Amino acid sequence: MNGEPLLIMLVEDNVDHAELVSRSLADHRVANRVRHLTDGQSALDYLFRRGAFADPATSPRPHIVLLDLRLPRVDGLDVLKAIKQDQTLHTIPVVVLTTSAAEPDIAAAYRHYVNSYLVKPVGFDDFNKLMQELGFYWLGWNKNPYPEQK
Amino acid sequence: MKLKMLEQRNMLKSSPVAILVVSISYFVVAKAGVLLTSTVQGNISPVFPAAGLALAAALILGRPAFFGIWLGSFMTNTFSLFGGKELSFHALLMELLVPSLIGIGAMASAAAGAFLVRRFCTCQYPLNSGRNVLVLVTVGALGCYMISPTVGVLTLFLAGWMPLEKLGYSWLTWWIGDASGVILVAPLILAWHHRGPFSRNAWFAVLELTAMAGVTILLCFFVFFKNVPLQFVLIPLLFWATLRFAERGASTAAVVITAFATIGTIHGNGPFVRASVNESLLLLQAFLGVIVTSSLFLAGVLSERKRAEEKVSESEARLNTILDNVGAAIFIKDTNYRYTYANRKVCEIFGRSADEIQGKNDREFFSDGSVEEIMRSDRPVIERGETISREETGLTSSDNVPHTYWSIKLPLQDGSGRISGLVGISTDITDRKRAEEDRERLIGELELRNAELERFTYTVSHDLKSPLITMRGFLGYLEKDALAGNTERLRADIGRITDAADKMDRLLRELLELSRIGRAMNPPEQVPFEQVVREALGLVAGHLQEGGIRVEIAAGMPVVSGDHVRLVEVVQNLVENAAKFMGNQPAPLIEVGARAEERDGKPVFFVRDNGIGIERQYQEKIFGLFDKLDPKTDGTGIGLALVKRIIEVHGGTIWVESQGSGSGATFCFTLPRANTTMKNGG
Repeated sequence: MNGEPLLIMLVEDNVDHAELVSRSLADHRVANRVRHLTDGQSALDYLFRRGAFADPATSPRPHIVLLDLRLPRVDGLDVLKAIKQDQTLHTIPVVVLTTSAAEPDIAAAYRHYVNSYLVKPVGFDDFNKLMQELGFYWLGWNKNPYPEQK
Repeated sequence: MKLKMLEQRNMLKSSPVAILVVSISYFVVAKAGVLLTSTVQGNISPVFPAAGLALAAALILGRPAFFGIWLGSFMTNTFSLFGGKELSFHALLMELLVPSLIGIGAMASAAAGAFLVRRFCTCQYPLNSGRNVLVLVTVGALGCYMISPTVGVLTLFLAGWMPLEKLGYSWLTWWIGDASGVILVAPLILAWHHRGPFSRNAWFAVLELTAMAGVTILLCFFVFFKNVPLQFVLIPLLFWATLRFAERGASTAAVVITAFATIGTIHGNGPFVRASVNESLLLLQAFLGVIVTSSLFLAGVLSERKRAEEKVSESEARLNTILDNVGAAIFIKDTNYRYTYANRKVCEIFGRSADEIQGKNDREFFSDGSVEEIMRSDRPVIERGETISREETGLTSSDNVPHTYWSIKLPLQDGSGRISGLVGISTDITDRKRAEEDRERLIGELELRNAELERFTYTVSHDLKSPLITMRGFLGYLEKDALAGNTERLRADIGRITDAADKMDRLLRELLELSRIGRAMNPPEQVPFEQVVREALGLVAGHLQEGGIRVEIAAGMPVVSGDHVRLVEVVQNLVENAAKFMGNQPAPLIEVGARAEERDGKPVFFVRDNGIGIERQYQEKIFGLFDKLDPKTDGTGIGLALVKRIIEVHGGTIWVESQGSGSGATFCFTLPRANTTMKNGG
């Protein structure tokens, strides 16, 4: 870790789940900041700096995106597609974090270049363990490209 | 009657009876021949019908007849030689030895004749074909009956009873007598013994037989007693008998003519009278033998032809039975494309009889377009000898429904290899094709349903799992916080758990509800839609009042047919949905009504609000299961899916119209109009 504040972007429509993820990440001190967005449309607006998110100072590029698949308005898969098709955004690691273990969902995610696919475990300990290891791996061991702050 | 005859036949087959019957008959017939020719000098008769009896017996009875023949011959000759004189032992021995040997000769001829005729004839009954008649005459009569005279004449010579110089003439007399006896008598016995049907009109047959007998007797009388030289007329007379009564007629007429002719000739009358009676009789026998052989040959050929015809008509009948019951339409056309054959199926399809179809071409039965199509497949077969197999459609059957046929057309060739027409075999594959199409459609539907079900399962499992994760997650924190004495977020976490449990409960209830639509439906009722709307509004009245929402109901909405309770659910859900998305509208308004124009023949109803509206790209998505546009709103995301399902089960469609954000939304749907006649009747 290079001292830079690490930013996780969490796209999750279920506020309870978002709370669980945030708490877990905070408990294990893996991230300095979590930016929670509740639907696909606002996630895209944030990433593409549209509307309320136009100012780069208040909406910096995330180091990693945790993405739920079933989202209102714009689907998680569409968000993934948009990120991976964009010349400036496609280097950001996207980890799908969803309740769905359906094969078509997994296949579709990888078809659109997802970096990792995780299924939310039912159970407090498993959930915490996953969050901890997710943090260690993606923000510790794994070397991420430095997000372009254009 | 028939059984009795069979018994008699079987009795004849047993040896002792056969021997007795054959020997006595032989003796009687031989004696009759000898007596008839008693004026002839010497003891060799030129007329010997017993030879014919012997061969016939040998052919019919086989081995048991042989000893009978020998015995008959022995008796005949023994009694003819006895003169009542006193005899020495040596003379007596000779008297017995000579007839024995003559008998062996007669038996040998009959046995050899029967064996060879059996061997060379193509069937048991030697009169049934021209070839077999020739075998009987040449091999059986002329050939084998050389044995008997040879043995006989030699025996007489060796016994010293016949001088050497008489040997040749005696042999010839004996041979002609025996052979003509065979030709005349054997066919008579064989023909009457052979069981053949009397298919003729009995009354007419008796009349004809009487006439024929009369003519025969008259003719014989004039020819053989009055010396009128009309013997050649005997030939057409025999042919008449042959043509009308086959081999029975021919052989019977021959025997009658022979009897008259022999008696007449012996008495010195008729065209065959020569220097000696013997010579006359030999000539007569030769003549009779030739004309009888000719007519028997004719009879054989005719019976052959008759059998062939029967065979052809039998196989034709068999073929027709097959062709008429094969299920396919089978026809033959000549090179001018005219039908020369049409089986029953073709007749059914054309609605015409076979006679009406034959000789006509397709223009008589089909429209010009169809004829062109038929000709396209007929022409290459007729002109180039190609074999065509293809589908033909649109040919209407007698039931006036277009049918599809699989047609195969093959060229027909005549003896010289030229194409003489075509054979067509058309199988009705309408049902099969329909079944295939049905199957394809069903498979498609099933695949669609399967995919839908799969999606449904994923969605359900995903959405049911969500509250579980929430509950387990916060329970974990609850435990941790409680142990640590950290109470600041306990209440909020318990609230989250309770909400998740409630949500799960609602999800399960609504899913159950959704799954019951289409399965558990109330019987359709005729209900004015306004009544449905009022009932629905009653259920959500509190909710509407709370939001200060005004509702306007249009007057004069049509009466619809459907599940009353479900229809109320539809309106209730749509109104609740509209109320939920009013946003910060200062004067919230919901309008319910029906449009003037119909869609797919069904009235169009609408629920319109002036709320936040729905952007175009989400207008389809909102009806999906668990799809919510705004995660912060309460509800499970099943409501609109439920509405859509109810509408679809009623055969209607639902869609939403909105100009986008802030412009309100209009939910439109169609429902079946009530059957007015039924309503009046009820």
